[in-house]
Amino acid sequence: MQISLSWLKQFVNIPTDLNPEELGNLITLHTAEIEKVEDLSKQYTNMVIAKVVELKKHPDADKLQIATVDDGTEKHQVVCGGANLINNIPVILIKPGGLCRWHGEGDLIEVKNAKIRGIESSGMICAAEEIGLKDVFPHGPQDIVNLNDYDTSEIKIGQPLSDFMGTDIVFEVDNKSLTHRPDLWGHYGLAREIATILKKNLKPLSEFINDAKITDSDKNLPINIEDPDLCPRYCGAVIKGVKIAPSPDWLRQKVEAVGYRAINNIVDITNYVMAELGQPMHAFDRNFIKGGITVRRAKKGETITTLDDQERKLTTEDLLIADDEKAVALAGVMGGLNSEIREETTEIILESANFNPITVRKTSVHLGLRTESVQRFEKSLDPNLAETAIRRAIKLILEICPDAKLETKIIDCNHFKNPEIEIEIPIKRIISKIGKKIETEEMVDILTRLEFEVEENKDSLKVKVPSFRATKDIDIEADIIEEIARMHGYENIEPILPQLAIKLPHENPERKRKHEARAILSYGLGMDEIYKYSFNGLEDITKCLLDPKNHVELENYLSAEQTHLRSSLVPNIMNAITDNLKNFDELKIYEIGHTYLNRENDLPIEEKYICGAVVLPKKSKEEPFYYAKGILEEFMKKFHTGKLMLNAPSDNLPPYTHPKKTAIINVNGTNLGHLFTINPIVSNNFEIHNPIAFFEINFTKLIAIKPQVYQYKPIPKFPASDLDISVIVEEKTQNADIKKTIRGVDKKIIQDIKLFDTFRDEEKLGPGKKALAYKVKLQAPDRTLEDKEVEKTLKEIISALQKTGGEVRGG
Amino acid sequence: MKSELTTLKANTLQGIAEAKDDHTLKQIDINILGRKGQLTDILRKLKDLSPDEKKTVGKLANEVKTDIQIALENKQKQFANSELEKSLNEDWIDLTAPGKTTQTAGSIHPLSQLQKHVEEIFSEMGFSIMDGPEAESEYYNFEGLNIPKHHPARDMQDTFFLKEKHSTDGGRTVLRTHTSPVQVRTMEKYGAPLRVIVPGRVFRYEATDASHDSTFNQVEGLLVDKGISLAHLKGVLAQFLSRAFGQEVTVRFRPGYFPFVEPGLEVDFSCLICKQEGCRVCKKTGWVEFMGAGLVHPNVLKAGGIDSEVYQGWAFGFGLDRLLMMRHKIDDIRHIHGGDLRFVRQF
Repeated sequence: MQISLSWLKQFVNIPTDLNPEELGNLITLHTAEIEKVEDLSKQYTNMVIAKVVELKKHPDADKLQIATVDDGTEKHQVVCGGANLINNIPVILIKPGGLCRWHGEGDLIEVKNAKIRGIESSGMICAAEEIGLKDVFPHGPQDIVNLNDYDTSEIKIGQPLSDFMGTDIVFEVDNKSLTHRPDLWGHYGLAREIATILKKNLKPLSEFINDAKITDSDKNLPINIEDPDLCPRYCGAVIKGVKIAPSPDWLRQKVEAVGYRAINNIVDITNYVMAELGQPMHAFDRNFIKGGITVRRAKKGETITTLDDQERKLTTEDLLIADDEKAVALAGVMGGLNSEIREETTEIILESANFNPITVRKTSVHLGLRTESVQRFEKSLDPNLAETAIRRAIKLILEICPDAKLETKIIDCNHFKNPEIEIEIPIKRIISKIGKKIETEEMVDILTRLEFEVEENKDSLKVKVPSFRATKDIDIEADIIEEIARMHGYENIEPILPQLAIKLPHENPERKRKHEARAILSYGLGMDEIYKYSFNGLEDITKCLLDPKNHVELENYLSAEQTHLRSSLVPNIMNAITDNLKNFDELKIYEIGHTYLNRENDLPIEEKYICGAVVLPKKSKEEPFYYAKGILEEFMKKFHTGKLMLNAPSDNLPPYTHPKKTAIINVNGTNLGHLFTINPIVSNNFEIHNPIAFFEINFTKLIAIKPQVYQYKPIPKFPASDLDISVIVEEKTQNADIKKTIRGVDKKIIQDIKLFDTFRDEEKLGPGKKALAYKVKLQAPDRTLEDKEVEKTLKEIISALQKTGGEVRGG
Repeated sequence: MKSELTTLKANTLQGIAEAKDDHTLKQIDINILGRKGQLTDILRKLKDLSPDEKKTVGKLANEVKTDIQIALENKQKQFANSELEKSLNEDWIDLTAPGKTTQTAGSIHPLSQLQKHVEEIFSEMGFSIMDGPEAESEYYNFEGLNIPKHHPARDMQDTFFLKEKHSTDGGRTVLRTHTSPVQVRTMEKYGAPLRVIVPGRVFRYEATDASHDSTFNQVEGLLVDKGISLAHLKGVLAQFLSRAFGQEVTVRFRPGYFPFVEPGLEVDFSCLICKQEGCRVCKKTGWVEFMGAGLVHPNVLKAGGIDSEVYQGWAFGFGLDRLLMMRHKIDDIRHIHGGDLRFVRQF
């Protein structure tokens, strides 16, 4: 919302030595955020209203003309391409030094003397969008501003554009910070705040309004409200003898300064009153209203064409203003085209009403039609404002149209009763919540300036809330505290640290363990952590052979890649692999994140997963499974989980796993997830040709397992002896079986058995065979092993292996 | 004979001390301790002495021998070391050649690093770290936080809705638009007093650009106890930010509006880049917009089952991604969830 400084000054005496930036800052600190303070005259520097006095064709360019322009004191030669440029018209001339935006785009550029196709040009005849006035002077795409085309009042050649547009300072208020403040949607409300901040007097509104009599009915304009809940108040009045004309300069400038397009005197006045008081108003052409005004819900299938020439399909939830025959306005949203003010209009009906905020908002949302009026009504306006506003508008219309006459009294259909909100609040609590001792006198002063009625008791304040703050904004103690705190100034509250009892925080092992897991995976095992979105698209899901039905679906989404919630981290990691392989040959990446699974009549099941992938170089012939396994084993060891078991898979494997290269990760009997080589079909779907293996661990389950406290084993005092044994076995013989055989020989002195090489050679070993080389470590806790003992063990191992069918070599 | 030994020892030790090279030492070794050496000569004469004399002189002679041997060895080592020292200066390696390692460290995502840092600072102040679901009920995301249906504040939070209903009465499921739902959940679970932070992923249904993403991360803070004030909020936030940035940071409050707090505040902190002189980052104001905060609205305390006549407190919420971007001068928020290792490996 835009607020004009000169407008504010009508209501409160703002010291001239307070610069606008400082004032803006004060408003930001005490009331609502001022996003920008703009000096309107600045942007029009070196711009003047001038007249085209001579026009010639450009000798070397078809679309260009050479204009001589008179700015009242001197003539300028300007080359111009405006399609509508003709002689003898008033235009806007930017003299060298002025700033404009070429074709309304990009940065501001300084206009300079230049040669255009060989012809001197000193200045520029501008188009509206080049100086940010597209809304004020709408015109065709190739045109320039021809001031004759607009209903402006008198045009003075030589008048600086800043005079024409009005010199003013405009504050841009962040609308979001006014969400809860219906009283601040106009200048008067903000003036009240400024008066409080500066401790100045606020001029009463009584000076600004017409004192016409009130009636609750009039045969000249019957008003009927069908459902008072949806329209607590409707004030109307008929004015005759109106002459529609362009607004006088002061009015046009004010309206334009705060960002509205000037249209005509009546429409401008309704906008002016809205900008001043925050009350949206509407004016109907009386000739097009049959009978009286009815406020009713739309009928099923009813439509209305709104002022913007759009036909709107309505539902019975929408509220309408209708005459005896038809809908004439969409209540609180926009007027109807059928009864709009036109040049011939002489008699008008003024509307100043109060509508239910929820109804207005719902209609606005379902029609996708957000207007200045909606923005205000949805904040819960004070119904008292409806009367003030109509009185203000009547006063202005009678002033501007000397022949205009009030045909009726103000007809006030009022079903609204002032809410009497009284809040009694202990002074001690105010101080305790703010954390600073503020004098009671100051509290009372602040509240009184904000028009609260305050009764000061010994230990408490009894506060009566003014009607314009009572619709929704203020109804509890905390609201009053806010008023005192913000006007006292948050900057005057000193930071203090609370004195709280020492207490151990609630334990959250998941958080702590997540950081531990990262340290092990990244710093220990060389993996890189990534984050991906929680979404998947159908394409990702099907590429991973998953069933879309098992995914939580979004009602609304931003793109086709984000229509479902992920049930596994694998699809997005596959995407990350695809992307990163453009820059890297091999990868080790992981993500820790949530997965989401549907659950009947409850929130989705969310579990946290660690999902890691090892991607080998494209040319590698190695089995990636073992790399993922190595990382998993090391991780589990340093993560202090119990003994890791990798079990043979059951039938229910995730579809993206390789059916034969998958193991179930199990600790203490709990299945935690899978270790697997990716299903090659999935790789193909992603067009990845590198070997990839994953581990996917349910982190929620993993951390439910209490970390193990590893128990100390005495450090060996006596040296160990190593044996190297190679055994040739059938291809499908498992390492675990061989180890078991070796270990079976002598459990006491065999400390460790490691497979360190696997060798395949059909010629040397025969088909379907492999040679496995083991290092066996022998050690005794109480003595150095003698050679005899070592040899004996070796012989036993060899014979044990031979018994199982292996052909043993070396030792 | 005794005096002979003492003199020999003194002369020899002096000779060793004055020796200039290893060769001299070898000569001393031969001349004194060798088969025809002076000490060996003396020792040979021992047999002519009386048993008593033999004992005392013998002992002395052995001591002399040991002392000389030690002195010789020490001097020899000294020579060896100085030789080595000389040769060291002739050694050379290319310090700029690449380092070798069997296992390079991977990277922890900068967001995780920052989150850990934030969690540690608040933990040290006695705050617990809480979690909540990312797919949340409308109740906890809105109504429980004093944002009824059709409240204009819902516009501020464009919401992703899930197709599935979470309850038989048709309550809708949303992707949480802020971490604030965990306020009520935590109050319900633990009651007052309470001191928690909630870092977590949140979602907004809005178009993305370099400074907005539809997925981002917030940290919610909540302190409920007796006599807790706005001054305390300022104190704790100033401590947190000063520790997080490793330098003194001041905090500024402005009025702001969030339905679940009253009074509601916008919190700015002093611009660290220009030291409040005014720069592009702070838009020449000297202050950087950072978070929303305020005293917990009594309706929210009520929803959490806490008696607002007894307990009062404050809550705040800030964007972790924004803090991350400021910290590392990241110019595009979309890198954070982009999964590009060229990004992650920088940290």
